[in-house]
Amino acid sequence: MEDDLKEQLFIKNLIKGVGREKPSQEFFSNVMTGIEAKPKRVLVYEPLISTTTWMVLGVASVISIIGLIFLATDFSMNWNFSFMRYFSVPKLQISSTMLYAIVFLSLFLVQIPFLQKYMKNQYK
Amino acid sequence: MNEPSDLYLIKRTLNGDTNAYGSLVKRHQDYIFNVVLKMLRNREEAEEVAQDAFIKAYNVLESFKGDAKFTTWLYKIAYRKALDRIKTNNRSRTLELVENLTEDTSAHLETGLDILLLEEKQEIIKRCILRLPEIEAAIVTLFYFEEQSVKEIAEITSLSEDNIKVKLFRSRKLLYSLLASYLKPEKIIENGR
Repeated sequence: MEDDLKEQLFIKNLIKGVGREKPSQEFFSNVMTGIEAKPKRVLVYEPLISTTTWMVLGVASVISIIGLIFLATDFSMNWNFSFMRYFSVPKLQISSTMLYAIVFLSLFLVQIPFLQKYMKNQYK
Repeated sequence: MNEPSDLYLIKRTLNGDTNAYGSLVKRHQDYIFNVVLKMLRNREEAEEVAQDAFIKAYNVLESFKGDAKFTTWLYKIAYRKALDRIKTNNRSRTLELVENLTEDTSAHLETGLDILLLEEKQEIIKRCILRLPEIEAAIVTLFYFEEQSVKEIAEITSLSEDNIKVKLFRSRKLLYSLLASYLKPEKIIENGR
């Protein structure tokens, strides 16, 4: 153990004694030229729906509301939903065991994002 | 006068001040170049790769979260760039067989090196480091020269801490055997007297 430390110190002193190699004079200016050649793309915030579109939508909805109020007509629709009786929705019979299974599975699935976040924080 | 911290300069760079990044480059260019050079063994190539590393770091500076030290983050980028270059060049050094060294050889080695001229000694050590495989050369430089901890080196190289320790041990033995091959035992004993 002592020899190991001695060896480590010996190698460290040898390597330290060599000195640090320095880059050429042009190194710094080359890096700076490289940076300036590639201007950073600045992200400008642009809303998905522009102000003009919002204004058009606003005006259109105001006109429609006014239109609905003032342009009353005699036209009316007679909705007949009697055809619905020809369709029947199947009734599901779920046992309580199945119900518990579904509840626990959904609880488990809800936990996943939290666990992911926890794991991510641990390995940061 | 107090020098501004790396974090302060990073913040200013992110606000568009390229001069702040210039200060960061000046502060770290020697360390980065030194490690890259030990891996690539060619000054021109090492300069190119180290420059690329700084430019890449600038472009992805927003991703630096400040969890680790800025130097560790920078070393990581440079290390990967150097590895990429080695892969492109398709040449890599392999670990040579480490001869069994006795305690006697180690002692002779120390005496032998002591009596050499400083320039001679530095040249031999430089040549020995350059004969180490690339990853080992980087690890040895980071550990002994730049005084990075095993944990930090593990972060830079994406290797496990145990692996780093093993590599450090083997590199040390290899350096010893390489140094021994430069200094013939007869000469050492003769000069050591």
